[in-house]
Amino acid sequence: MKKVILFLGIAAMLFACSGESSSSNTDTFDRKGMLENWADNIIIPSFQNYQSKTSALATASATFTTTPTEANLTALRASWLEAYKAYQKVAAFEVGKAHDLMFRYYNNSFPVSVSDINANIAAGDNQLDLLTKFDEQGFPALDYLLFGVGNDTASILAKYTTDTNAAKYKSYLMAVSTRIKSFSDLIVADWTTGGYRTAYVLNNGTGVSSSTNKTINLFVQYYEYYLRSVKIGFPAGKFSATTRPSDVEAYYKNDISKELLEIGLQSSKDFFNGKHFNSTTTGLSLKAYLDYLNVVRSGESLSTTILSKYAEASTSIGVLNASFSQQIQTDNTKMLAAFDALQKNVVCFKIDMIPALNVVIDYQDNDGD
Amino acid sequence: MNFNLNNYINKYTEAATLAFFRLAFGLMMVLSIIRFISYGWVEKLYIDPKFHFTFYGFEWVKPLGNYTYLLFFICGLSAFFVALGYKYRMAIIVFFFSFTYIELLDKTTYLNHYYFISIISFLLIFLPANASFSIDAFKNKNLVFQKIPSWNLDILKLMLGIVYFYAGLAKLNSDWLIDAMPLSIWLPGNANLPLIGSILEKTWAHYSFSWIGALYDLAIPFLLLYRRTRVFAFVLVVIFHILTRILFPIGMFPYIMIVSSLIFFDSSLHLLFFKKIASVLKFSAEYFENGKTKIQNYNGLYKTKVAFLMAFMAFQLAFPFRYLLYPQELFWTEEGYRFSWRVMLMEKAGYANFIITDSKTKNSFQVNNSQFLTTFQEKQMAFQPDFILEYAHYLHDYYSKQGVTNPEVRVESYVALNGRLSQPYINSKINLIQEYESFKHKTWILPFNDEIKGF
Repeated sequence: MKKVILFLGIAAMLFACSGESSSSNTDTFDRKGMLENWADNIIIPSFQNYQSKTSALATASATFTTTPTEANLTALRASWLEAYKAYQKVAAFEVGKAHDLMFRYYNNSFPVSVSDINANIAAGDNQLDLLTKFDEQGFPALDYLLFGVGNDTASILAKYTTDTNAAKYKSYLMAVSTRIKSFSDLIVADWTTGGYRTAYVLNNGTGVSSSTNKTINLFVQYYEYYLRSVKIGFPAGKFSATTRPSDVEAYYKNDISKELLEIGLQSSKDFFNGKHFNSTTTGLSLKAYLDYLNVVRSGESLSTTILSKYAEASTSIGVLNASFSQQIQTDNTKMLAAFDALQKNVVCFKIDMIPALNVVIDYQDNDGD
Repeated sequence: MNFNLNNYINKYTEAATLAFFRLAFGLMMVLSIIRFISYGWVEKLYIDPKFHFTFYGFEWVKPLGNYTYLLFFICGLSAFFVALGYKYRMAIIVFFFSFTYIELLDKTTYLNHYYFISIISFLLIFLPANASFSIDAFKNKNLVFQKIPSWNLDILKLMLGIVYFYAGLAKLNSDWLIDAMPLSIWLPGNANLPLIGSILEKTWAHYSFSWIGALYDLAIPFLLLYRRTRVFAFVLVVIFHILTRILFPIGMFPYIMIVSSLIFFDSSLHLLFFKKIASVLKFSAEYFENGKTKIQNYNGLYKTKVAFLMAFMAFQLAFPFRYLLYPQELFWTEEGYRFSWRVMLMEKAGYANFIITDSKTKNSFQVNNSQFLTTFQEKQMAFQPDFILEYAHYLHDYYSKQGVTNPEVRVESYVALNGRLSQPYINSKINLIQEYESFKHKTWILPFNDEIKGF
């Protein structure tokens, strides 16, 4: 009996000295396979697509600034729109190089500061890499430069042809476009030749800094903050005393804010389903992960619930005006209803999905009971 | 069973057992405090947050900024003195107050086992734990007693028994037994463990763990009390707590419980332990075996002490049942959930979105919680009504200063509990500023669309 106690005592001491296991929970789901699917079939192709569109944008900018005709302006506007749409499909993936570059902060901060842009142009200041210049560049700046510097196409074109500052306008336009392209080049290079793809897939644990954890957190943050708050909540006055119709995405083009949100929502849903870029094939995904763990909530599989809430969000966004600023001014209740519909999945992701996947959102590794 | 209080009060037991408990408890506390500080938690939990969630009635307990470290140091040092039995009475009083003060700073960090430590240290104030194998007794032989009243030890056994048995009772509910919740959610998260990992994803394992856990908690106090099952029970204690330590992040608690359960053993074990220590440290253990019995004078003071402790234990027996006074589901409202040995019963997560309305202009905006709360505070706040209420009042005061006219505060919130899909939690129409914390039922918690049967 003494021996038993002695043995147990030693065992307890051994355990006591084995230190804290800081690893969070794990399961036997093929997370590496999921990360490979995310990287190879979704994230990298999406960024490569984005890269080709930004490359076309830079080319069209060069063509227009060399020969500022109305036809070239139209072509440039079209390539800007294509690149902006492609941007919506990568905005959720701010990991690795994109994170280091502060990709979203520099490429899509709106509303733009018109006064600062005008001051930059007047001063011939094309230095865009300062932290304070986040709202003087990227797609929103091009939105202003291509659609907002005049009341109609003729007066906009005049800024690049007959205006005293025409040369400065052109060089600023070029600087903004080139910087957009350079970001995409750096990100794609890092994923493909820079070895980030390997590091990303190898980091397949479940700790706070694991790829799984980071990507899921980004996925949720993108949905909650960028889709819900930035694209709808802020302009619809959800966080302020009054509505702010000029805070919508692509305010100067004005008729694409709905389309951009819809693309973002669709790519969020596609990512959830693990759908390959530009293909109907699906691979390992959050949906597969939830189904593998057999996550059932109140009698329905959680992935089904989430997909039905995606559908609800799509429906309520579907009834909106193509121009959100118009929608806000004519009937803001529909905007608020769309916000609430988007909100449903925020709740689902944050308190139904994330705990089920044991993803750490909390950096506090406190003791439980 | 003819229990006679007078006879019982005059029963005696070896002082070595209580001395052993004092030493073990004190050392565990020293380790706990060192561990807590070394993890940077003092900073993270008590210094960094702008705002702390207070316990009702203890709002005056305030963090001390960087002096919080001093408080921890005092707490650790007094625990060390308790372990040694040096200036014992003073040390245990200082430990009780400093430890309890720390725990009252922020209810975000509430844990049942901290509450347990507060209670045990409170009881130890009244017990002669330095009567043997202590520096106090070593320096003054008038303090040495070989025998002390049995109740001095039994009161600790009773407290331990309450913790186990009540934890077992709390598991007798339909979520735990019929749905194997929340273990079905938690156990698969450990599927990569060697040996047992693969079974942790199996449904039968979730049920087995749930049922065995409930039976263990209910039976263990009795198995420890009964001499013939004691060794077996201790083996169970060790296995059970080591297992929980592996499966869940529960810090020092398992070790505290393992060591505490040793007080159920015969005093020969504790004497043996001290003799080993004596031979290593080269002091004579016989010095403490003076055959003296701590006979109590039946004076008013002693009677008062015994009566007070009896009342205290009666309170301990009754208090966990206070939830019966509240309507609605306990797990949902958490009215009467804390301080009642409900451990590991819920996987609960919440989402709380606060909306501030200027009562004059009627303009509204939403609050960014991370501006005011740490992630941990936000997580805990989102599913506990008393937190939500206190935070709402804090927001009211903050935005009043910001120039919002008498801000109204409403919350749009959802809570997911034990594998149910999230449901709306707090009535979002209620201006929380018109509600105040009290022991009364909070009528603004929305109904729980389900039923959990049992304790």
